[in-house]
Amino acid sequence: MKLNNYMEGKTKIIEVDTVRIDASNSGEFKEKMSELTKSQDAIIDFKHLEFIDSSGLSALVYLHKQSINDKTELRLANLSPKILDIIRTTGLTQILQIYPDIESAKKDM
Amino acid sequence: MHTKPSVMELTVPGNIKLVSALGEMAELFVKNIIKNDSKIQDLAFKINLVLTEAASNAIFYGCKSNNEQVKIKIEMNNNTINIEVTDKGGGLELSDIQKPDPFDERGRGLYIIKQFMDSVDYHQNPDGECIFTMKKYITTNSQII
Repeated sequence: MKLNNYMEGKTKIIEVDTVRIDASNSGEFKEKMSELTKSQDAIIDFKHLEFIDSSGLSALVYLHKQSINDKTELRLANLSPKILDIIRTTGLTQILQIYPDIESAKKDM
Repeated sequence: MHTKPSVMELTVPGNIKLVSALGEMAELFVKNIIKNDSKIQDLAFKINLVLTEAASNAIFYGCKSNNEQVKIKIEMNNNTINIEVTDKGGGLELSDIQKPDPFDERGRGLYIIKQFMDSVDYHQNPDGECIFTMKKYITTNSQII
């Protein structure tokens, strides 16, 4: 799984270059993303993502909790309507910081 | 008009790397069987999701090694999609599936299946195999080909 990343000011932007996160690669996603976002304000760009299952959502919850512990910001951007539907169904819109695009996610960071 | 059901059956090794292909195959199967309805795109995506969840559960909890196998059967007729996922038996409890606490890192797979399918069941056959079944009623103006 390729995770391209670059800095914009103090914020790391991470582009997830995969169309699918499921039980076959969610462990790798969680591990790599955890390192990239550790003690670091970050925005994850999901513009390429077309599918996520419960194991991928669990990874997002883990990363969200890590950001709370680190007192950093973790924002998610460019999620497709189908993926937003799964996130809403599971109640995760209550905790995850979701933005329509990178520009809006960068505000106030 | 009665249409003969379309059936896809697969037997695969209990290797978690295969769940992506199983989910995508189920989506393609639904898309190619039902025509003339734009809502089918969403239905096919959800079949991909629920099959990915059920196959992952079967491999994680029902297979002790890659040598054990998981059986998948998808059957479609005029108004329903029936899916069966069979493994050697890990055990599931379906009666008390609540909406998970958002901070929990586990327990969303069966909840997602229950939300997107019309009925879900789980039983053991006389051979000791565990059979997880899911049903979705097709309520659109779809045409089975």
